[in-house]
Amino acid sequence: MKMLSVVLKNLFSPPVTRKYPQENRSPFPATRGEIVFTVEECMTCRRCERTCPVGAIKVEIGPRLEVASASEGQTRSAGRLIKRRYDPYKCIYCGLCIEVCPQGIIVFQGTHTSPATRKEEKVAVYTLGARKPAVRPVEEKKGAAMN
Amino acid sequence: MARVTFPFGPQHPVLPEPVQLILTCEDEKVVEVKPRIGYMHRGIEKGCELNPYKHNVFLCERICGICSFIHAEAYCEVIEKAMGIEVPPRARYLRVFWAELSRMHSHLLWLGLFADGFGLESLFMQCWRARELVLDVSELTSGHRIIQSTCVVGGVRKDLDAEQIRTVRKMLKQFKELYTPIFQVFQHDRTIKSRTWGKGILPKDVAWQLGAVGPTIRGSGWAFDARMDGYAAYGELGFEPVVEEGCDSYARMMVRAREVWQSWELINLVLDRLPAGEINVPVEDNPKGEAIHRAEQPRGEVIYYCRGDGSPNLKRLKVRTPSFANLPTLLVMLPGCELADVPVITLSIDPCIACTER
Repeated sequence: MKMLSVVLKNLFSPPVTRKYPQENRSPFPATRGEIVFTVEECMTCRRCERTCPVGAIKVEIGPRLEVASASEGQTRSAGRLIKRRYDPYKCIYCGLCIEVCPQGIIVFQGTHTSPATRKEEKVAVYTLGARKPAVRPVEEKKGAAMN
Repeated sequence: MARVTFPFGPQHPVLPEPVQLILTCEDEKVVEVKPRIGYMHRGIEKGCELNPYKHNVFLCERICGICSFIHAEAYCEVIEKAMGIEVPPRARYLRVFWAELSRMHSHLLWLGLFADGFGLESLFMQCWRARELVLDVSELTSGHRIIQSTCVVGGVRKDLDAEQIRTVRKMLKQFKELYTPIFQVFQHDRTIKSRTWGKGILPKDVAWQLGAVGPTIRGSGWAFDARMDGYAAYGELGFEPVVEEGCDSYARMMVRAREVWQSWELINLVLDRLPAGEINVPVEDNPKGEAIHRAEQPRGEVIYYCRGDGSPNLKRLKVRTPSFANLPTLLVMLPGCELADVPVITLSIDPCIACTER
């Protein structure tokens, strides 16, 4: 009789587990999810690169970009080309880069991501703003080639 | 009677990790056993010599996927000993908090696997359902379910705020409701007793002679637990080890089932007594000299030894893990048992091969 009541109860009660993947549990606020960089605001101090325990972040600093100045025979600096490589497959999501970033431009996106279909690193190329004008004339422009 | 020798593992449904037992049987009785390891050596100790010592915390945490936090904690404590660093009290309490969470989920995982090992699949699911709640607490407080990554040399990286503590208390109450009936099944069920009672006897004196550790030796009547040394905040929390006198698989199972309650109580105690203050101290120097530290993992005592010469890289890091100490006990437990009991007895020491081989 007791068994029958348990069977009937289980027959009409909803499932205990969630209907994954249609129904997802929302992550907790502190969840260490995908790491997102806002590279436009990066000042390229490279602390994240030095702190990363697995070497998942690589910052490559390219040659100085220069444009012709208004004065004849002179050029002015148009900044440096920076290439930031981030390998999400090397990353252990410890969050040390987030802690050391002085500008707070690296954040955990607290969402569960779908499985990746291709194993590739994320590369962002940006220019680190123009500083003071160059004083010596440059004969040959090196363009956007990386070191 | 003719003898038959055959391999049990390294790939076997009851073995979560690869270890091979070469069994020699007479009819259905096991008469001889030879364990063979070496299937997943990763060279982590050598790897630790190649990285800066602060980065090794994350590598040591990955020696084992289940007792991850306690590996990181033991590594940090041995470096702190070598450098003479005093960790703030709040950090010591928080280390106990995450270490006991690790122990809870490790024991619940093992209880589920053990139940599956003797055929109670429903009990396996119930254990893992309760474990989910513990993993949720871990994710809530550290950001990750298993690899907390909260321990650093000099303290911890994350703190608990009042809101989190309230939520954790609520979740611990839910856990109590879930685990109480499960614990009663493990304690009283006739089927479980018939599969574990008197199986895999490890006599008290033999357990000591073989150097068994953790629940394996505590199930043979020895009050032997590294937490009795009072490292982290265990000394202030009045820790008493769980001991069973049965010397069999049932006793070892009950040690773990009771230790889940003990960890639950310790976590509540930590939340009650959590002191205010800093959670870490800045560490700028490099380790010089040598140090040794014992910590208690879910499977038993782990020993960390380090030697540094003042450079950022360690000269040597040595880890002695509990499963390595517990594997020889199978040579005593298995001979004389029925072949059908081999999975249950092997699981009763909770072999962790990832730890053993590193």
